[in-house]
Amino acid sequence: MKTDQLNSKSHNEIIPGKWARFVEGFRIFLSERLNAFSLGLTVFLILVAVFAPWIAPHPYDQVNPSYGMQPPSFEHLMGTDQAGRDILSRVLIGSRISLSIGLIAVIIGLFSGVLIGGFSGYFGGLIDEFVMRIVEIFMSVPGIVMALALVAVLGPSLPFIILALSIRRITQFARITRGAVLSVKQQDYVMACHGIGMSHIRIFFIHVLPNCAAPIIVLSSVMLGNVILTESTLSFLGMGIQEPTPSWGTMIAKGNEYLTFAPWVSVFPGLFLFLTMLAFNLLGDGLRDHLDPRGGNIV
Amino acid sequence: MLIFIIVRRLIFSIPTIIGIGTLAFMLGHLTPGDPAIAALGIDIEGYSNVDQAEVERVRKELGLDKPILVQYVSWLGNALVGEFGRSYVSSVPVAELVFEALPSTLLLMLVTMALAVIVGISLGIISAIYRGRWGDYLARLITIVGVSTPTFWFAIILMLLFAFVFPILPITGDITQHGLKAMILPSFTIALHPAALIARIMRSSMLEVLSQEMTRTATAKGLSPQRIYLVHAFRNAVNPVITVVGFQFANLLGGAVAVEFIFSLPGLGSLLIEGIYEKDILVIQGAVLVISVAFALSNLAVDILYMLIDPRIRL
Amino acid sequence: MPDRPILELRDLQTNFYTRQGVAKAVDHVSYSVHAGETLAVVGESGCGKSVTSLSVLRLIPDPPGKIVGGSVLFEGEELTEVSDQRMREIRGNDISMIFQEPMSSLNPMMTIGNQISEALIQHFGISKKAAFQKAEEMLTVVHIPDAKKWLHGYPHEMSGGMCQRVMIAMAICCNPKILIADEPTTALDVTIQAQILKLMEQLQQKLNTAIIFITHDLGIVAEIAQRVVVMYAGRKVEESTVRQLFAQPKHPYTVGLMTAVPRLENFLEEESAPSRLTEIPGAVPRLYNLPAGCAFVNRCSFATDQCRQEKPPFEEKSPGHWAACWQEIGS
Repeated sequence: MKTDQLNSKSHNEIIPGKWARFVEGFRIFLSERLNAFSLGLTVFLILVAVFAPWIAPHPYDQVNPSYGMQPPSFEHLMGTDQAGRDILSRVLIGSRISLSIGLIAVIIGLFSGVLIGGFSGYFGGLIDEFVMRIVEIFMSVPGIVMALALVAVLGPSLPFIILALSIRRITQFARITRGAVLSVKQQDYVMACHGIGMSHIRIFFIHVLPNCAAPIIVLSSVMLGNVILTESTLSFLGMGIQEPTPSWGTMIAKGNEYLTFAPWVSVFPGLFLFLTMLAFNLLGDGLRDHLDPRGGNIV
Repeated sequence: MLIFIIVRRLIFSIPTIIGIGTLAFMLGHLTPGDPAIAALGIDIEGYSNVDQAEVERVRKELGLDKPILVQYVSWLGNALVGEFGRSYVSSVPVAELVFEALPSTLLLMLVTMALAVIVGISLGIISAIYRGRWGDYLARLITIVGVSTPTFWFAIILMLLFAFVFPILPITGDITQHGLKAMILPSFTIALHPAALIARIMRSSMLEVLSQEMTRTATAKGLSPQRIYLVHAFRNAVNPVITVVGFQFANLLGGAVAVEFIFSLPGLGSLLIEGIYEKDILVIQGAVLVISVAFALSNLAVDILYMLIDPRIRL
Repeated sequence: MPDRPILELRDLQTNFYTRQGVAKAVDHVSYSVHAGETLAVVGESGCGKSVTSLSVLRLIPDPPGKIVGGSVLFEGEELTEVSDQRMREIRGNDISMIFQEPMSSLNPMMTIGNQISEALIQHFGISKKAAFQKAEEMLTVVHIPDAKKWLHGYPHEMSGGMCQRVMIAMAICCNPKILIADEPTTALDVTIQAQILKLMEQLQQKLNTAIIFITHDLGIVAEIAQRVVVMYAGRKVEESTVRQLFAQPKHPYTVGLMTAVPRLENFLEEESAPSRLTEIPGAVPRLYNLPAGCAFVNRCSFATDQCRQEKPPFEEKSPGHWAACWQEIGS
């Protein structure tokens, strides 16, 4: 009798809905001060990028040769570059470009990588062996070297830059997804799905993939910072975004020439790049701790 | 038994290396337009001005008149014996350029890796031991800032600080001119990322080991904290770090590309970038191939090292 | 008991500070053990029996755990207050421990010989060579064949039973006065279990060690211990000699534990055996959310309103037999 009472009590507990659980998880995530900070910084940077044209105090391409290399002042908070353009405005517009390139490259990498790695891990066998070999080969080429070489032979136009940045993300997402799928597909409930004759496609998309979400989400955040860095490095080396479109990398490279007497030209874009990387890295860390409390090295 | 495993591992890495070769070969054929013209280093715009006889000669020399499969096999064969063709800019064999640049890069890698490992592991241990106290927070702040700082920007800042504001270090990384002192700024720059990553892995790995039952056993034996941390926990925690060190080698090589260029250090990275600026396809191919193979080999070395260190894998 | 106990716990309190709240893992627990005696501490997992023994050697991970009150007297010395340095001298030397999971309790990266000898080097300051000699001797004592060879072996090359012998060798190599064995046989096969228990008994007779044997298995208690402490939800609920406990358990929890043990006589009776093997309904309550009265009240078939509202005192029900229960059980 006592047992019955106990059981009925536990059954009566309200099972939270999907949305409520998400909100609760989000609340726990934000209760960590560092997470709140990194999410705030990320949102801030995204807002800045979205509203850049309206925030920017000057047109980003307004040339004023007689007013070049001005140190930071009230008029130009970050000073001006060699052509007298307002650095703050260029940094703001630059964030728009960097963020969108990063986002597109990560999305391409995410979708193709998850599908390739997921199917490879799920079906296994020779195809898996083959795919993983290819991934391993691609992983052997350092990301920046691959991107540089591709842009060098294809030419530094936007689609090719994005392609060069995505290829490595595809392999990284494929590897992570495959690993996750391999462990999930051995779980009893997946076996049970096979047992009741569910189709592979349904099992894969409904029962396997959603359970691999944690490492993929974490990787996405880390990769965003990473792609933005690679793009900046490309631009810095002159193989990325071309003038007059502002890009942090190009601005830092230009500033490098006047480093000794006008350090602000390269310091401020670098600072923004640093903040962006910081935001995404911290966010990735926070997500990793939140989604994988064991602190495993999922990325 | 160990030898057998190592040999097997070596054999397994052959397809990867051939794959990298294939990738580099494809790179040369991705160029929009005629690879012969690309090998001459001429832009597509300049196509009409090219001396057709010259193009034909290059086409023959590179074997571009043959079917693509034949080209591929012969290119791969040549590449495997270190024959990458000639640079069109200097007419020097690419192999010669690559092997001239290699020692410089390798030295830089070694210095950097040593620096990154020492700094990273120490920071990680400090962080784990003082978990939740100011030592931990400081170490973690350094790590997160380290991971988030763009390498090429850091190079510029270091240069600004130590070559101009306090002129104590040379701005170029040419050791023939300045000796080992020239390595300080470049290696510090490149070491930043791997050191930070190693520190975080070391920290989490140490914490993991410290929470295990074996640590409790060691404490129950009456051992000193020093011995528990530095002998018991360290020895167990360092294994995952070795894997990370191996993976970091790729990032190092990647980071080195821009940094070598900034500090005008005559290594593979500088060679690659100069090749790119000059549109010297064969140099690009050679540099990409050598860098990637170096990475694949370092991964192999890490695997073998791992087997030697962990008695459990030695079966 | 004639002489003074070698180890005495008085109202020991250890708390764990977690996000969900404060868990009183050890709540005013007292017990004592004499030289040459074996005391069994019994309870389900999570009842605080391990935390109590870990508190003795101050091995509670801090944070989140902390000893917040009471005292631990070892030969009259207050262990909760001695310096870390002094504590290290006692650990492994005067008081040593054997843990539940022999495989994961040993350092996988260190040879067996090194692991045994480091305690010897630490406490006796002897040379590495002498320590290895002693370690070999200890391995022979715990019946490990080829002791010399195993000195250079690694834990992963051994079976669970052998690992536990190594743990015992490590624990007794400094001739400790007290040996705390925390479920040392739970992870082992039944046959190995018997061997390990026998080994511990032999060693106790030889060295006159006091043993605190922590277990959830009453069958083992009957075999090895003289006195028993039963713990539930961080508190002591019953204490007596083994004989009295088995003859006449005074706490419903102990009764439940006993009926959960398969007994030969049950099987011999007419009714089918499974129905006689009762389980205690429910589970150990979460420690940060204990009922106001007796902690066992939700699982107890004798519970009354008094049980729900007031904590039962720990009182002597019959000479030498103590229990914390409002009801008169088994009399």
